[in-house]
Amino acid sequence: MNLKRKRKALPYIFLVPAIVIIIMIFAIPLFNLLWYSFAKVDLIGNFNSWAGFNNYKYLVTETFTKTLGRTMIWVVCGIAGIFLVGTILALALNKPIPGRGFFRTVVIIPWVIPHVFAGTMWSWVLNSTNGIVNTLLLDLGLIKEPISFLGAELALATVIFIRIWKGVPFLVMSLLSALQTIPAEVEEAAKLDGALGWKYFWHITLPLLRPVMVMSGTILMAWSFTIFDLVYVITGGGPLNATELLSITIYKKAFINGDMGGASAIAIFTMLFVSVIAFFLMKRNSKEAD
Amino acid sequence: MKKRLLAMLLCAAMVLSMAACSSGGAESDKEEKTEDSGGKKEITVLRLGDITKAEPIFAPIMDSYTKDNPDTTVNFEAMAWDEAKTKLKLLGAQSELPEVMFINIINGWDLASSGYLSDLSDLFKEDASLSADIPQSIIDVATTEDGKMYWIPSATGAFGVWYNKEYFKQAGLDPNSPPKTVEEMISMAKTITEKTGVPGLGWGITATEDFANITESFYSSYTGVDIWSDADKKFTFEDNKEYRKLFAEVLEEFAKITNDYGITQANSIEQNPFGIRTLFRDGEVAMYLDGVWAVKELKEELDKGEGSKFNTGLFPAGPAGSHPILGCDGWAIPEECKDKDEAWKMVQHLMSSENQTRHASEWGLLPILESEKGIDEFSGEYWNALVEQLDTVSARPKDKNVAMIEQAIADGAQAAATRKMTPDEAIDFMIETVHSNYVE
Amino acid sequence: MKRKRRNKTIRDYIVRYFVIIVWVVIALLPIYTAFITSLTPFEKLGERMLYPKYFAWENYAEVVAQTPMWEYLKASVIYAVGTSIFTIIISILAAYALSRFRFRFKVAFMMLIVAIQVIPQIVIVTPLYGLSNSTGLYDTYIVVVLAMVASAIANPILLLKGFFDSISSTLEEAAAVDGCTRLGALVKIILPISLPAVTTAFALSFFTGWDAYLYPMILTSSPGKVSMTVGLSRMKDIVTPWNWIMSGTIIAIIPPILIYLIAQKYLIGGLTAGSDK
Repeated sequence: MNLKRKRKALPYIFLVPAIVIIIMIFAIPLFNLLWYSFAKVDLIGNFNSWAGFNNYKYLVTETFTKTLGRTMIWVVCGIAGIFLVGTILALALNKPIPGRGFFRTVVIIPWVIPHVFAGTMWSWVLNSTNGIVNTLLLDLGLIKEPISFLGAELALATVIFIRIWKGVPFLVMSLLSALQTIPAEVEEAAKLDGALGWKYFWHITLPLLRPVMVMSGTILMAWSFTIFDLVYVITGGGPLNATELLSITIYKKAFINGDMGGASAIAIFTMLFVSVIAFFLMKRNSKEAD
Repeated sequence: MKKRLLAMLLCAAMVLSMAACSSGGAESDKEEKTEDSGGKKEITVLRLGDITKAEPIFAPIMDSYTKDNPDTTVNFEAMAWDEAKTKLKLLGAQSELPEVMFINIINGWDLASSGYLSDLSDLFKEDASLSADIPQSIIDVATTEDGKMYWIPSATGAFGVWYNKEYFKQAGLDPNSPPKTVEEMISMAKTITEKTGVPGLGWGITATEDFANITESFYSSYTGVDIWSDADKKFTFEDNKEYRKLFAEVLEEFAKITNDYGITQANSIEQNPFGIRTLFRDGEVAMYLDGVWAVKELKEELDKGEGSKFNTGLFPAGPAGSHPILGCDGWAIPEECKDKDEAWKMVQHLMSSENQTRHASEWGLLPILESEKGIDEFSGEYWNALVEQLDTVSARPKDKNVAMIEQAIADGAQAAATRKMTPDEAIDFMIETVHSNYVE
Repeated sequence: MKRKRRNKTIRDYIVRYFVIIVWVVIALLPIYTAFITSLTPFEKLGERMLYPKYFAWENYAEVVAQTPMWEYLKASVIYAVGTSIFTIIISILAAYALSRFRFRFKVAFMMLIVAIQVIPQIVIVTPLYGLSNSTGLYDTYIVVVLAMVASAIANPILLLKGFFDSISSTLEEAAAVDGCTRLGALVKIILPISLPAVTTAFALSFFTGWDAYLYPMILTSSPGKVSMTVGLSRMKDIVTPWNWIMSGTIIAIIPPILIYLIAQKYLIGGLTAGSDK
């Protein structure tokens, strides 16, 4: 009996440190977030007046639904790109190749560059008057007019590309370590069965990578919703709102408009939205694993 | 073996980081103790910006203050612009703002409306020599409609035209007469573009504070009034048909400059003033709108003195004259300051002709005191227009929501400039946005 | 037959090198631009350049002399290392519980940790500022580290759970028969197999700590406590010395990579020596 109870308590014991630190840091903010969203509150949380559901009214405006749609494009395209590039790279780097150690190190560099400066670097790279990419293309005679990477038409695609740049190293690393945990016997057995190349990848490697991929995808998803400085530094959400994402709206509401209530309402919406997506991602995975 | 090593490493690192934390705590305790034991007066002066830039400029100013007031200990601190927005408010809420602090417009009106700043207008008027030394136009910009002054202007700059004399010569224009009006600026830019092939006007319309400031400057030059009324808490064009019509003309002009005239460099929509500045420096545009802030970046050429190819002109006049906005930051004293006399004494010290000159010239700002004019630090022909401009400036919104209002102005003006909205739609957009986001 | 296989290997190499090099070029493009900028004198910033035209190495000397660069880096390393060590230990335990046990609030817990990541940091940091002021913890390492751990913890937990899920539980069952406790099984059986994953989780939390901006910005002020990101950003002004900031950024790329390499060597080095595929 005692043993049984102990068994039942065991998972909770393992979770205690995580729960303690989460409660310690997040209890007050979570509570604040909730009441802020029903009030007029300034940047540092000074109460002004109650607002009822006024802060939530913004969530049904056309501006907001457009932003939400744009954010979904940003999240989905970003993750798809990260998975495509990341998987190819991880496979290319998995087996021995001269210089592998060096390349594995170089691959993670985008991850190391702080978001605050990465945005500035990219805006210089892509600038239409003095950016290195346009200069090179013009010098080579490949284009006649500079490409306006940050103009209204291309800006969203450009920042998605930069998101992929920043996110790929994480996926490459987690896939590489997942590939390392695949026992050598599996591959040998597969070889004996004649399963090689694409077939091997599809039927043997991919299913083994699956749990890690789902979790990495979940992480990248939540992460994409929160990134703002990278984009804000480059475009400020513009031109003409072309790159205005949820995270940027939250930032602008809080820091520029000094309207923490409005920012909180959007943040709460984003939290619910992200948890629902995460729920389906993880639910599906655990069902298929069972 | 490996595993044990790993475990040891982990433990060691954990202990180390713990030790580092606790030693940090101990240090700050110590500091507090020394503060308590000192019987002397203590005053903290805060400049916004980078400490490595501020320290060498202000160290001698602080030293001379302690020489005159041996009973006072002066701490000089700096706070980065990025950090000021949250940190100043947090300090204000805790009644811990430093005795004398440098305030910029974006934070200033916000702090003032929260009641964290003292109204300095009486002290300022009492100091006859100081109030006589600052031009009325600047005092107006720093004073609210009900006569309150929360900071003494110290760091200012206004927009003007920077132009390249070489291209003026090549195009057959007089290199000593920059455009006086908006039409002249455009026609000169056309001539230069045609004759030299170099874009006559550098033009950037990213929806930033800078573009909002340029829009405000055009508006005031067309109408003769500030864009925002702090008494009514709304745009001055909101209820005035004439101003609204003039503003629509401004926005239509923006659209023409951006799309029709063919006088600007490519892709204005992704250009910000920083980009234009370097383009101008490298001779890739012949004119652009900027203020004293460009001096540091153009220094190499400007230091050639007479032979320099860069010069400035007044902001191009509209129907109502040349009235660019004034960036106006300065020294404030918190409402809860315990020793306001001491703090005011420090402000007076900072505003003395000698110290103000040191501050302005080293930081790259304009001389605002009448007693500073014509001295060596600000000689060179490009200073003339920059300084003359100070007499006809207009004000940015004097409102705690200034950042939001200017974002709305920039967004609307950008939409109009790219013809995504008609001028009328853009104006309605600005009014509408400010209405729905205004925080009382 | 043999030749055919060799041709195939060569073709394989070419394809892989092509993929890798294309990525390396893209990955390094902004760093290359930053490097050029770091060698440009202030008066020439923004000039159009394909390769460095100026070699103002003094920018590096100046940024080190003018700013407390080493102090910034020290603080950043402390934040990153502190964050990653706490995070790793806590998340290994939590991920193990989530992967190996069935219990009631499992899904709820996972959704919660995904959701709290989305909370804007400004909402978290303002009450922490008040709290740290009243407890005397303002401007100490521990506050920033704790805040970072809490915000960074979700991802490593999820990642490690993914890894643990893919490890068959038969090994542990054998260990349990041998009388091992669950914790013992975790340490002796699971961890050694999943060390590569632990490295990734380490990197994940390490770089999150390295990237910290708003927390150290609001919760610290003295040079020894201010992180590199905040310290370098302080130079932003109406006229920003980007040549210095970029020199600083280039310097700041080196420590995290070194630390990552060391961690990787220790964590993976011995383990995969025999089974490197």
